[in-house]
Order: sequence, then structure tokens, then C-alpha cells
Amino acid sequence: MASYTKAAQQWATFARAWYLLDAKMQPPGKIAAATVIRLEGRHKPIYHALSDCGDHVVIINTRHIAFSGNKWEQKVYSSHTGYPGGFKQVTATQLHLKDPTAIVKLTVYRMLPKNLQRRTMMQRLHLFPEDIIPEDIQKNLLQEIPQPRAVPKRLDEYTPEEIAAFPKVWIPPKDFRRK
Amino acid sequence: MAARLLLPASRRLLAGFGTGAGAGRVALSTAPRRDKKRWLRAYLEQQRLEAPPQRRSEKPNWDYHAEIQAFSHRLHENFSLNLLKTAFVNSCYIESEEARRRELGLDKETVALNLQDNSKLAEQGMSFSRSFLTQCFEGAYPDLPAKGIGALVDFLTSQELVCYVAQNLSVQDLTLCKDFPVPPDVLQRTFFAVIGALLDSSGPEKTGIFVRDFFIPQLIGKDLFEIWEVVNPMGLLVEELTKRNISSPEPRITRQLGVSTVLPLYFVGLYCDKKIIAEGPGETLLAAEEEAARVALRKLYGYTENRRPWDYSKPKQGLAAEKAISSN
Amino acid sequence: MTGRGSPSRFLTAVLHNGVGRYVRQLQRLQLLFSPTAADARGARQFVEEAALDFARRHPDVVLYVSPRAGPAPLLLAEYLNGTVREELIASMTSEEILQLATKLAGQSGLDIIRIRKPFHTDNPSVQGQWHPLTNKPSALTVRGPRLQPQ
Repeated sequence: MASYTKAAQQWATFARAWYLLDAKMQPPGKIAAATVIRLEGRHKPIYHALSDCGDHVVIINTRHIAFSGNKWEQKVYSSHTGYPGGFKQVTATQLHLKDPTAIVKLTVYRMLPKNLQRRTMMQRLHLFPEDIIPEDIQKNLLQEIPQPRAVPKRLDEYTPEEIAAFPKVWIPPKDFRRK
Repeated sequence: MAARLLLPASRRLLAGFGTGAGAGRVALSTAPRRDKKRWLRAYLEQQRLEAPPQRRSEKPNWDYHAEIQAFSHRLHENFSLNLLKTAFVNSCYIESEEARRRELGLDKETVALNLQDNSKLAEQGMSFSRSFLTQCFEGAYPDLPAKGIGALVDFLTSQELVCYVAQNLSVQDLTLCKDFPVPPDVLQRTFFAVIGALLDSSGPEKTGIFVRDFFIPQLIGKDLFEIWEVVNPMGLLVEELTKRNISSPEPRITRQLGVSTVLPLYFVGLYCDKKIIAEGPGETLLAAEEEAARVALRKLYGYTENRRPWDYSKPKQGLAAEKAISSN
Repeated sequence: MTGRGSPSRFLTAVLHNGVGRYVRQLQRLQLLFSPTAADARGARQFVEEAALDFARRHPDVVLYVSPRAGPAPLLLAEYLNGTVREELIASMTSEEILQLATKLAGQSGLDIIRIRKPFHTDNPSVQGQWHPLTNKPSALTVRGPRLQPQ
């Protein structure tokens, strides 16, 4: 055990860590759940609701998130401008085309506790549509949060050798006509 | 008598006023009764709060002899009561008392108070406590250099700490002193005189245990460098390492957090021959390096936070006490 | 009233009492009672029956018995840290007074208020206090695992 001076120990204990999360092919809800824990500081043994001990989370590849089912078409994000007739409704696709970070941001914001610290915690969330990060943020990164879902491999990402080596249950005859 | 004569007259006056104005009569009928002195309690309480502080010996119920006896029982020590009483007599008290008697017009022989003051006992107690504590620390922390031990002993025998201990043992009530409240230097002297009195009445072994029981618990929760101010820990560490024939330490950043923010955290490790000897956190690289040096020093001196607690059990032989006495 | 509203303190002892040796914190006890009043009957009985015994059992407490024509019988307890506690003993029996006096003799003189936790330590951790880099290898600090250009 190391015994530090009290001031140094305090500084170390309450230092903020920076986490990286790759949102590629991840459901936004799962991403938000993993993020909110870090933003609130609930993963720390020193967590207390009254002490501001949240960490920073950097989410990359928000453009490449994955919704299950038909949510891209059917999920509706509604808002109201406050003026008469100001009720806006856009589908997830439309919103995503407009701002590739908006869906993740909204999901995290809605999952955070509804209190005065919500905006502060949101400021510790850094979203990037692709995997390009500014240099000064990249310097701070400490650890990557494991992805909640395994990333599936698309068929066009397999090499022809891999496809040829793939075990087949049934080999079609030469004169087989595909419909 | 005059007031009593005035009373009916004023009442009549008020009554006359009452008939004149309706509002006056209402006020008169709801006025508090004259015989119920509702201001009295508040007034007395105010007087009590505003009264200047008094010596305990000037308040009722004070038996000096009984108090002294209870004091010695309280500390579980067998004081010789005469010595203990001498320990509480300060020279300033003797002077002021003699001056008071002279003012009363007593002749010279009766003016002289045949009292001894505690300066000799205080000196004895002070030197014994210091040498005993030094022996204790030398035994407990053999790696700590003489400067560090000196700092610990100075801290424990400092005026502030001794006064704090004495006040929580209510020594200031028993102290015979000119001024009130008792000034800290007098209180410190008195407490050391009590230790001196114990040394004379019970011997060095018991006194050693007394000093240990009342001074050393004050180190609980204190860090070594809170007590011992080291300005340049790195220099001291290099000195210590050269004494132990270890190559000088090489600082390296081991971990860092939030480097580009305004709240960075650096961990600097000190390596000797590619082996890490200590690691310390800090706000800047310099602070972290200094902290690492302090951590290394604590480890070298055996004064880490998780060190073995002080052993308060009875010692087999009063070795330290004997040594303290012989070195006196 | 919630916990935050009421006065509270941490668990402490005067001068770390009991670490080296135990020092009784009650230094003197004054028994003030009227020699004639009816509600001081128990106090008078206490003086007759139990006071001597109490004083013998507590040689470290100075017991003053002072009959006075006052308003109410009192136990005045003075502690080493300067606290003075007044306990009303009107219409109490001798046993009750003895019980109260024994209780006062065992107390420390610190404020009797809510104690936040039933334990206290100056060194909260034996293994060393946690910080974000605890149990993380030092190599991690250089880059996140996904971003390893160097």
C-alpha cells in the first residue's frame, strides 16, 4: 500500500477518467446504458449521489449505430417548438440523416437522471460521427468500454477464399436453376 | 415608600385617560399583571451569559485538596500529594500572592509564602518527556533519522499540543497562576511539572507509561510530513539512498489522466536500477515527483499509513525509561 | 425532521481516551438540594444512603453535597472538557438518583447529539484509497487499445 499525502490522495481519487466507446453496429439504448453509468460515476467505489464524480465518455462511429426491427422507419422523434402548429415529428432515418450524433445524444440525455446535474453530465459526453477524434481528446483516453453487442461481419467483408472454405450443407447440382 | 405613594396616583391618572379614550382602556385591561415578573428569567439569563469568565476556584463548591486527590485517582497514578500540589504552583502565583499580602499591610515574615514553585519539576518533566519520547521513537522507527525523530518529539512537546492535552485533563482549573485564563506557556510548564512530580513519586517506569499514554495517541491520524516539514524531499531521498548504497532514483511518468484538461493527474514512479521504489500522484509533474519522493521516504522510514499501530500494552521492562533517566 | 436538519457529530473520544489508558471524564458532581422541600426527599435520602458509597466507588469524581434553599434539586456534572450538565432530580427516588449519577459518571461530556456513523477511523483504507487508476496496468495510459498509432 502506498500512503500518499492527503491532498495528493484526494486529487487522485477524484480525478476524471476518459472512456472510449465504439458505437459501430450497436443499439443506441445499450450504448446509452453503458455511457450513463460512467457519466454518473456509478461504476466507482466512491460513488455518492451528492458528489460530482462522473467521468468523460467519448463515443465514436455514431453514424454507424444499428436499430433492430423497423425502427429506422417507424421510430418517431417528436418535438414542439412552443408556437401554434409547432409540433414536429421526424423518423429516426430523417433525424439521423440530419445529424448523425443526434440519436445517441437524445438516448443518453433521456436516460440520465432528470436533475440539475443532467446538463453538466451531458457536457462530459463527446460524440463523433466517424472514428476521427481530435488530438487533445485522444491524448486523454484511458480505456475502451467493451461493446454491448458483437459486431456482425457483412458478406462483402469476407474474402473469396473464406467464402470458398465455408462448410456447405448441400452442393447444388450443375443444372440447378435458381429462382 | 415614595414609589408606593406614587402608585395609586398613577393608576388614577391612567384610569382617567382610559375614560377619555376607548383604545387606552383596552390596552390597560390586556396589560400583563404587575406581580408576574416575566422579564426576570430573561434578564438573569442575560446576566449569566454576559458575566466575565470566572476561575473554577472562585465559584461555589471548590475543595482544592479533594480536587487534587481526584486528579491523581483519575490518572490512575500514585502521586505524592505534596509534590503534586507543588507542581501546580507557578512562580507568578507566588509573586502575585505576596504582593497582595503586602498590600493588605502584613509584616514581612507573614508575607513570605512558604511555597515552592514548579520550575524545577517542570524542567525535570520536560527533559524526561523529551528523552523518553526520543527513546520510544528510536525504538519504534529505527530507520527514521534524528531530524525526523526530533520533529516528532518537538511536535508532541510543543506548547499547542501540550496545552490541548492539559486542557482536556482540566489541569487549568487546578493551576495556581496570576492570570486568568491561564496563558499557554504557564499551562505547558504546569503539565510538565505534573510529569516531573510523577517522576519523583512513582519512578521513571510509570512516568514513561504516563507520557506514552497521553502524548503518543496524539499522533493518530497524522502524517509524518504534516509534522516534519521537508522542503526538498527529493534531495533528502537522494541523500538517504546514497547512504544505503542505492543508485539515485530516476523519475518516470507511469500513468496519466486528463492530460489536456485543466485537471490533469500524473503518476510518477521512481526507479532505482530499473526497479520501482515508489509511485506518487500529483497535479503537475513536479508535484507528482515530489509526492513520489515523499512516498519513498515514508517507505524507507517505516512510517507508512498502514504501519503497525503503537503497542500500548505494558512493557516487560522499563528499558526506555531507564535509558531516558540515565541520559538525563 | 430529516437527518440533515438535526445537529450531528462524528464518533470521537476526548484525547483518544482509552487508547493509552481510560480517564474518567466526569471530574466533579454537585448535588444541590433543599433541606426541607418535598421534591428533594429522594435527594436527601441519597445523601443519607448512597452518596458515601458512590463517592467511594468513584474516587476520581469529586462529589459536593450542598444543601441550599433553592428552587429545585439538581445534579450538576462538570466534565474534563469543560461541559457542564444540569440534571433535575426533583421527585426522584434515591435509586433513580444513583442510577443517574452513575450514568453521568460514565459519559464523556461531548454533546449528546446524533452520531453520523457508529464507527470512525482516520485511516479509512488499509489497502490504500481507490483512485481511477487502481488495478489498471500502467501501459493503458499511453493509448486506448483501439487507438494505438504509437
